[in-house]
Amino acid sequence: MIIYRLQLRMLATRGRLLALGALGLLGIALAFTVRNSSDADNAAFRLISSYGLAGLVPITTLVMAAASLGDLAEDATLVHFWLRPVPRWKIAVASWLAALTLCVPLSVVPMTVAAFVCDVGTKFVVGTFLATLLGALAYGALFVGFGLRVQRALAWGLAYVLIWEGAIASAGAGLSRVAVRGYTRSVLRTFSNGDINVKHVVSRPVALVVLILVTAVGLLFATRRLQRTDVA
Amino acid sequence: MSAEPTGDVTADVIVFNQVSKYFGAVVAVSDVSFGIGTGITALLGPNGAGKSTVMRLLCGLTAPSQGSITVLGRPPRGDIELYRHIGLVPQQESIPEPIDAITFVTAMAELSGVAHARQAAETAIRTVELDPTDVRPLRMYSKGMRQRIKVAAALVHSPSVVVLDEPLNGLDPRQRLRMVELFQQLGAEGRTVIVSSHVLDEVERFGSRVLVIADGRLAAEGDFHAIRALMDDRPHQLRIVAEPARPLAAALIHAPGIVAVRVTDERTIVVDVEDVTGFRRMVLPYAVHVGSRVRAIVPLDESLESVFRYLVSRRS
Repeated sequence: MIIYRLQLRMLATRGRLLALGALGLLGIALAFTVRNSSDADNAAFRLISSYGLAGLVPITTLVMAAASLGDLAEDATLVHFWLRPVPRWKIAVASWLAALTLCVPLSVVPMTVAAFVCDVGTKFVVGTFLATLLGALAYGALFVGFGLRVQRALAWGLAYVLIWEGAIASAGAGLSRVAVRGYTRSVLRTFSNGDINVKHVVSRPVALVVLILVTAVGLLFATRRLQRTDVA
Repeated sequence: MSAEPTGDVTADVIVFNQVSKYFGAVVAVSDVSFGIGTGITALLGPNGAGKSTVMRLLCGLTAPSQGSITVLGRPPRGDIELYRHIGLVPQQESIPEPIDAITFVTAMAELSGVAHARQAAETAIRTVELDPTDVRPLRMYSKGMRQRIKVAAALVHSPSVVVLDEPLNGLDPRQRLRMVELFQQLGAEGRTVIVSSHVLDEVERFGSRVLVIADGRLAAEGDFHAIRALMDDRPHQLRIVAEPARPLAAALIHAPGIVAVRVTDERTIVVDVEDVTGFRRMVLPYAVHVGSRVRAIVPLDESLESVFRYLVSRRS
């Protein structure tokens, strides 16, 4: 709880909140254009999938989660937390939760509001909330450890989100299995009323299980990195 | 006490046994063995000698490549319960900048399991002569204040092993004096206090046992006076600016206590001498005798680096 509180205060910088908050508001603004579309169901799916699940959610969680332990390691403040009798998993989980606490209002809530604004039914709003939340959980867990493992994690994380998940992994069914986006989009698709043809989707239970597993593995990795990392 | 490294690893609070640490091809610490008991021990060495690596190793912040380390009988790497007994002031200035001092130090106390964390934090902050009611974020603190907050955070849980990496950096003379007194008090209370420094005079003030680290190796150990005597025994190098230089150089070659004489240009002589004070007294009469005028006498090798190089070369 103490690490969670401190992390929250260190992560919530004005610059981050303003920049990411603006991106969330842009998502809501785009939803107003969808609302009046003739093919609202499919347009709403495309908006949430392309803007929310492929952009806002992974980028917001990347910025927050990678910074949570990554910034501490880079500026050598990690030592103050590391050299205390606290189990490493607690440090990893507290950092992840702090990042999530900021990611939910900055990405999950705006996308859920955007889905509501699209006015294509309550089911889609619920689906958007679930898909974006699970996405934030999974990306957050991955990026906490990633920030600790990789220098310039923001740049590498953006490359992963935009190049791997955005381009390479959407090219084939096999590759989409190793991209978080494929599973969040599958969750959203099962709640969508539209008839849009979405490639490489899996069933809702499979998507849920995989996203939860990714979250667990991400946190395990972050814990292991904390145990093994050389602290400056 | 001997000024030679003994490698004595008897029942001490901290024991390094043939410890080496490599970072890729770089050897940061090489086959170092020592034992540290209660009281103050100073780790003395030039920048880049391996002091901070030794401190990181003994706190478990990095694992040794070879050898073994124990602190209070336990290996520090990975034993998080041991961290209840260790307080570290890292060399880096970094502290969580957006929060205030009392929040930071209280958090450190809570993480260490201190029962009355807030109270302990207030006491620790006052101990380093800062104000626990100061609500400014730590980013607004001066270098000296940050340094003292790090000391407060390191001491807030009353650790039995206190590791201080260059703790006097950024402090003004009065604060330095206060900190030295504090560290002496901690040592007198029976805690094990390890202080690193590259400044010989600082170490003298601790009046402590000294481990000299140079080029990643333990160059000497003993009490301060033994180390100081060893350092004073070495030849000293001086640059003499004199006009003309050559007659004076020729005269000095046969003078007592001169190890070597070199003329580097028409106005400059470099001499190696055994006794600097004696040489200063002697050089002017020689200059008068040969008709040279001495403009300046400048010590060339008073830096600690040269002292440590001497100790290492003497050992090898």
